[in-house]
Amino acid sequence: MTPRRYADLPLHLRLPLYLFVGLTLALLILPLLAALPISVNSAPWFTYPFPGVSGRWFKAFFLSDTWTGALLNSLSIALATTVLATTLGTLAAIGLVNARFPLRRLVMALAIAPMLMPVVVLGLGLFIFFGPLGLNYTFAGVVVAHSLLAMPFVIITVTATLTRFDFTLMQAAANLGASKTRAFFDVMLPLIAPGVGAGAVFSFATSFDEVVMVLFIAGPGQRTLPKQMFTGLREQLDPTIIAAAVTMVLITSALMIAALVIAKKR
Amino acid sequence: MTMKSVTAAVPALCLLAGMASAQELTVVSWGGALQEAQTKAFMDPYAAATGTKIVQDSWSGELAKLRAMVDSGNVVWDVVDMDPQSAASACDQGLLEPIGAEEMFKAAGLVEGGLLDCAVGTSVYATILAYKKDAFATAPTSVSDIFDTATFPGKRAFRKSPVDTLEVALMADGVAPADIYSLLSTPEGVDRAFAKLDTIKGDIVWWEAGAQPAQLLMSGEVAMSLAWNGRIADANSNEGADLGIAWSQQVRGFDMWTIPMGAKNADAARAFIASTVTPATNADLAKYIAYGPSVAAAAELVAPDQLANLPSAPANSEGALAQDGAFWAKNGDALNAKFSAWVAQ
Amino acid sequence: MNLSPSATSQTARRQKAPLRHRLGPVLPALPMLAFLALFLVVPLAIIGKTALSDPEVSAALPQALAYAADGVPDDAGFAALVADLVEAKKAGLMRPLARRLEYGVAGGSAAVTDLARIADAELAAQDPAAIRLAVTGSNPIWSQPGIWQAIDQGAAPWSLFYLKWALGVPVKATPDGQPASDGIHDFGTIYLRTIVISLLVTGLTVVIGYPLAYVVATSSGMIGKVLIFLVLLPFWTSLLVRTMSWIVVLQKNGVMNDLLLAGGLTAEPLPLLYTRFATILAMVQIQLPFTVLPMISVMRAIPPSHVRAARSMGAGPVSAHVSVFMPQAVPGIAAGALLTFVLCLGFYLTPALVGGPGDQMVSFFIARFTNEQLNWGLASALSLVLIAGATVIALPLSRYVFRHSSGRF
Repeated sequence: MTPRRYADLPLHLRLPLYLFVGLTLALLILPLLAALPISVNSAPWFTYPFPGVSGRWFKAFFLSDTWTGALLNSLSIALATTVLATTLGTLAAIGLVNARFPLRRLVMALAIAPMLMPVVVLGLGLFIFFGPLGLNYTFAGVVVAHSLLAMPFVIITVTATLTRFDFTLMQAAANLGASKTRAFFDVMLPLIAPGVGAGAVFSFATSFDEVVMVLFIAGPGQRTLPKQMFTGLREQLDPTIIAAAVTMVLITSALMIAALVIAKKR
Repeated sequence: MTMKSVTAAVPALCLLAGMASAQELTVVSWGGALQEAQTKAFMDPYAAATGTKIVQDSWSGELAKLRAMVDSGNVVWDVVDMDPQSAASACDQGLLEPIGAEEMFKAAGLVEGGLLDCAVGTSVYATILAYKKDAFATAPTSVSDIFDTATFPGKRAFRKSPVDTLEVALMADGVAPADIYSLLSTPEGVDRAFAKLDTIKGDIVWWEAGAQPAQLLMSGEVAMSLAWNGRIADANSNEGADLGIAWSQQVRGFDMWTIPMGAKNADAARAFIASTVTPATNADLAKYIAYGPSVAAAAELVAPDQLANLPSAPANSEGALAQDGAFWAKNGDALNAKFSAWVAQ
Repeated sequence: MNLSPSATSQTARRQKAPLRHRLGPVLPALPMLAFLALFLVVPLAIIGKTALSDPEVSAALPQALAYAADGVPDDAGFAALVADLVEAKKAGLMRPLARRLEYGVAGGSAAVTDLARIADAELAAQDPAAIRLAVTGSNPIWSQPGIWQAIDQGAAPWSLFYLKWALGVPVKATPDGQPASDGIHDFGTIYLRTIVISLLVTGLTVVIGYPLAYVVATSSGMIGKVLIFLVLLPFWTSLLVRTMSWIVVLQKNGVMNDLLLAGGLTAEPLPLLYTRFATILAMVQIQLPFTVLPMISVMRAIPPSHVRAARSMGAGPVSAHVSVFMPQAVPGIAAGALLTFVLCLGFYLTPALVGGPGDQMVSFFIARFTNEQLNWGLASALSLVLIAGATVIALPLSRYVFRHSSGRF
């Protein structure tokens, strides 16, 4: 990044500005910093200072069939969503990025729409639609619903890398005798991998965090971690829920960091 | 991220999920301390004895969920814990298997009111007044004290449902327990109940899940609350709370098992319900939560120290009102609509 | 979107080719398009259909309908009613009918169930006058005009009933046929509340976010990276976790009250949770990154030389900022505000968890009518109003944003 220098503001303006921005950042970060450490509080209450530090809430989390079952459900739904959304989204981005065809704007708007539409409305529509198809209360139904929400992220991230991709490379590969599939895997995919990887991580995180669709569509067999947390929060705030939240944050962050590291290596 | 490992992992996970389908049973209850107690007293022993894999879910009594399942012919719940009015109403609507007429449940020796057309009672609970002992100089003595903001100031919590709320409002307005339901069947009686509620609306905090009252009381958000007695006893013994209970004018109800119409594992569901109304198992629940047995023969199997915490103990029964499931089955829709509009105003 | 020169020439060549060839490169997008058609377009169409369909009365009472147009009918109308209901009971149409009539008249549900209890072939065989007596005896509502109006209201299998209801037109009557004053949700208030909360949150995120975006956009090197990381951190963190953290902080015995008590700012814990304050605070925190990120990307493109030039020509720091920098940042502000406003309109989770009953927005009622009352017609109609409203409000703004930001998103 090149240094960007603006004419410096005088001190009497800079100080209050920095103070205000500091407070804003505190608003963004502090609630999390205040809430998450309570998962290691040895007492079942929610204020500082702690009487002691203990792993009892994490123990309660990992020893409970309800919680670990929910975690496994969430992981398998998120993995399946990642595969479906990343595949469809990547292909779509490749097809749409430079194409000129009638109604292109409409198609692009449609592709991004699930990001902006109220999730409750999408959930209602899918719930009524899935009823006669027998897709409510099924794994497949939840994965489809989550993929709908995750796909726009994949399209956006992959499109961003594709705009820097030189499509003449594909022509060159074809001239050298590579099939379209071969050219895709050997030439295009390695170059757009950072975008695909970022999209995959977004898909995973979207599904792993999603609760509204689950409230509409999931059955007892798809009791996910967020749903378990949501029911818990409406019932009784228990430090185990905070331990669950910390677990959730750790899993998502680990994935993000992994994706960043992989992207840097390329 | 390598795509291959991900694509390989998904079918493996699906397989894992599929393998578990030996004999499954999905049991749905109200969550929290009640469901934990039921798990210990009912679900775990049944799973151990029969090798059934019990999947649990919780709900908050919203019949629409069940209706959506039955209407679409895709019923994923096998056994559902209901209150009598939901059970009666769901039964009317054809949402439940008519198990009350079956011999094995008729022969179980349930106490009066414990067997409905579509539901089998599992335990007896009461809606009582719970309060923070340190909040008042003189302790409240009856459920109607929740309307007495002069003597007992502070926020108070009610369940966000007309059931019990309207009854308590009329009792607090001086109506005798025997006249409550005939009065509530008239528009004037309903208006009178809402008028009584209007007098304290500004002080009301609403709860939806059974574990909330203890939580609200312990955190100091409310000073008193209508609550299910077992949840309060549970908070006192397991969470170090010090909450008082005013038993007088308790509204007594049953927890009941039902089987949704078209449940996929209806036979296992019957076997499971039957196992919970054998006297020994039925009496076991009182060990884990302060709800009384629904089977007459189980009453003598409950230890005396546990008995004192049960709604059925004579000392606790003064002015008790038995909740009328049939009344609510008939008027629930209309009163629910009126109630939720009133709350949102 | 930037087209590389080679891509542009390819496009030029393609445009001369027939449509079939031009569509070739789009083929990879077909699976997604099929997916969207099936799981986005079809469900939305179904919502539209559900909002307009009103089949219960015409299915259950095909004969009685003809008598319902002018209030309480003559004896023949009652005979038709009983004949219809006997069939409806057999076909399982009685309960849906009861539910639907309760929407139209207070006591409609009880009237249908009471009547269903006595309606059988034996009664249907009696003479009309006796039938009339039996029907009005089962529930006096049947002798009043309200319920017959409700039947007439549902005469067609398609109607605007649910849309009217969702738009706040009184659709429910008392038994004597007057508009019912209770048992109705005041949807006008709920829409207004949704818009007011969304506007407040949008306004607050813009006011709070502008200085933040300015500092982030004008910082470089390590500080710039740390700042952008801090802005993005909550953005990556689960929505549910962030909402939960507000519950932990704001509850009666939570961190915030602890601090207020310790600081002597209050003598007793304040009710912070389940309030409008909590709802807006949590929403502002959740939406702030959405508002700030478009601002940053626009501000970064503003050449520093413009401000420097203004300063060198004698403008003060504030007036240089307001007259030179700020106008160029407007597209970013508009984009961030628009995004936040549109997303706020559909908020469900956060108000449901940290707000009180008086802070719930349209989405909450859609979920409630779907999952708790099984009134899919009303839930669908509310969804239509919400989407239509959001589009009407957002479309002109989005035109503006797209005109001024092409290539930047």
